[in-house]
Amino acid sequence: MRILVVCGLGLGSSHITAITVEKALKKLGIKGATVELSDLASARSSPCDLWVASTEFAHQLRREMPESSHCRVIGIKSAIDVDEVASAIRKAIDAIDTQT
Amino acid sequence: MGGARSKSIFELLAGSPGPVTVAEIAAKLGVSPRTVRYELDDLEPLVRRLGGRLTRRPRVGIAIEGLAPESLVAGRLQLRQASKDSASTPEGRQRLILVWLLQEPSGLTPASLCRRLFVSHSTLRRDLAAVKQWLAARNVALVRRSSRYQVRGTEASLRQCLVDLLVEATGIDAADLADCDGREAGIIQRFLGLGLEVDLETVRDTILTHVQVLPYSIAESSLAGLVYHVAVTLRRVREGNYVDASAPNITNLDGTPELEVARAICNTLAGVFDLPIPDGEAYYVALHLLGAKMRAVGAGQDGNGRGPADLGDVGAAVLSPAFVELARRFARHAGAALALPLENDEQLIYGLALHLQPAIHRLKAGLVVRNPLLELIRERYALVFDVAQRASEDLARDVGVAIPEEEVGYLAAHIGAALERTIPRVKSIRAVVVCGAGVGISELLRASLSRAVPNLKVVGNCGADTLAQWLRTHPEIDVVISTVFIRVSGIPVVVLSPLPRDDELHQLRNVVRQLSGEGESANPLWEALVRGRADKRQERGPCMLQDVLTAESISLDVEARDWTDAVKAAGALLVRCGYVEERYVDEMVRMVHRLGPYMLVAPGVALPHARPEDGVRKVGASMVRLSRPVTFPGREDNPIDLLIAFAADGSNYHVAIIAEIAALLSDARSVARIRSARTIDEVIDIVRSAHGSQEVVSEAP
Repeated sequence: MRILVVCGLGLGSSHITAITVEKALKKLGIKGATVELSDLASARSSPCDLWVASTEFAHQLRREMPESSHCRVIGIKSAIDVDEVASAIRKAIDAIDTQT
Repeated sequence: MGGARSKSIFELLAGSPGPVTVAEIAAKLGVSPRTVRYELDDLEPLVRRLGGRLTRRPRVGIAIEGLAPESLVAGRLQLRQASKDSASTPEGRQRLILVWLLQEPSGLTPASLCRRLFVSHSTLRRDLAAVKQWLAARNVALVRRSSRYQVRGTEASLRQCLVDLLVEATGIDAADLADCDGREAGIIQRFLGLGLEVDLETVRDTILTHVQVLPYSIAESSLAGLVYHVAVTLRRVREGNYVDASAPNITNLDGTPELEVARAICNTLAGVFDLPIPDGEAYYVALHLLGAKMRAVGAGQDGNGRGPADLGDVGAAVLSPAFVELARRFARHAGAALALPLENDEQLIYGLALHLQPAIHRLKAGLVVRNPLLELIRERYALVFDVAQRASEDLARDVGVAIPEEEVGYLAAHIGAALERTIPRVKSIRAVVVCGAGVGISELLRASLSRAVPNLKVVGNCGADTLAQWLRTHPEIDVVISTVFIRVSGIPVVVLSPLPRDDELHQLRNVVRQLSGEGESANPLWEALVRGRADKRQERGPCMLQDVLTAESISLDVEARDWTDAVKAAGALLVRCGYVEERYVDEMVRMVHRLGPYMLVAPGVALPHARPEDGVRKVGASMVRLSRPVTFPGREDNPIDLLIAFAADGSNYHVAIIAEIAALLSDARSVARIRSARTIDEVIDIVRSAHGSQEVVSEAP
């Protein structure tokens, strides 16, 4: 599973989010998933399984995507809340599974 | 003067028993007779300076006459030096002076030295200062008596000087003596003053024959030194110079197999050379046999594949219990300082005892050991060297003789080796190397990694975008090594530069060590102890959060009208500390306008920052605690009272710092304590202790 963490600059908050996402994956028992950083522009064109972004970026991303991909975009309020991120990832994976 | 060709001619003439014709020389060197004549013209002044004559007799040939054996070596030395830099060098002159002084017991006047060397008095003074230092390192003094310079030292020290000069002159240190050609052997023999009817090979064969009875074999490199020592002994004995056999405790050698072998060697050589050799000389030879053994067995490589496991047997055969006890006490002292039970390391004890037995004899007999590795040991094993030095003070009291640094170096090396042994042979760790594009850089990295981390096995490489897919087919991967920022769930990631810096490799080694389970069995202080790096901060990167977040970059209970005010306050601190230029502050504000307040990373916490190219000078961070919270546009749900602004330079260091900020923020208690802290010092303490509780390798699982 390839996960892109999206932020404006790819310098600060996305690093923190990526660390949190990794902890969340560990909590969910998912092994071998990769977490990469991306800015908004390249995130749109990169094929991946999940996008993780702050709520405002998540809105932007969804606007430019087909309806069916919306569940792959995870918007988070706090970059350090492992539980929030873990349950959002769980929900997204379940949604993808029911789609396919 | 000189060059390689005149050196060859000199050696040809010096090594030849009779005159050689120009045509013969020309043929041997593959040059024209005219060239040979030019070279001979150049050679003539040198030979004259050395006190000899270069004779040219028609139809007979060229010969060097009237040169003392020492001068032959000296000339060779000077030409060797000259062929290196084609100038008469201070080193060449200094070796000449040494040879002359050692040859002339009554000494030499400054005037005669100047004349022989063609140098001024001031040059001579400089050369003599260097000569004095060289001699002092071998416990020999350079003194001036009634306007003559003389060398003063024990017979053993003087012999050591001769052997060292010989090794320097011939360059035959580790090489097999039997391989040296006739010219070389001729020069050595003349230097030693041995008759032409015997040669060094006789000495070598005699030694080889007799040492066979010893329960270990002597390394070829030690053998060459042994041959020189015995040969120098023969020469000195012939001149009537004997070692002091009454040196205290030298009789400790009584009953050792080495002494028996040494006596046998001396008896045989006395017969061959028709030279009575006093029994005291056998003790001297025995010391060097012990020294040779120390190098052979102590190093654990004796050429017969005899492993360390056999050390006990070998040691038991030659060691006296007193030295084993001495070694154990030394190990206990050193172990106490290192908090390691070194006195239980039998391999160390035997190694130390094998070393100490001859070493103490040598020291008591006033023999100087040379330790060509001293500087290296000091540098690589700085802490261990300190420990060895302190333990040596106790040792010195025990044996009643001072332990020079040269010896301490050897003892430190033994302890260092013991510490290295505490690292168990570990399983190899399988890695994948990741880079942005998947080729090129990862290949480059792969090459440097296999050298830097021996038990790391790079299984493959791929691009970041395909890593997840790649990992599905490679479940055996233990660690991901990447040049781009990436995290992988369940697998530790180490981010490295394409050409990794030392601190990055250090981090990788830490991760590999943790993965291979070394951390549990080995002493956790191992790296610091052995490498002596405990005090070098840069090992964990030049800047961690606690290094950049200081009293100057923290401000508490700041009044801010709105979020812009707050961001600017945090920015001003960055500027004050020299982390960024002024314009960076405005860029931080602009980033919020442009990208929205995505930098609100946690409840009440914002992380304002801009790009490296917006005026970052170096990696840094600042912290502002507001007296009243402010809200950011579009995120009125999350009022902010804590701002951590940072300056990122795009390197791995800033990632490390952000990882620390993340760790700090995800610890709710630390954040609460920062909010209630009364002083800046309190905040600094919280940051520091948060770091301390965090894993050093944040990527590790």
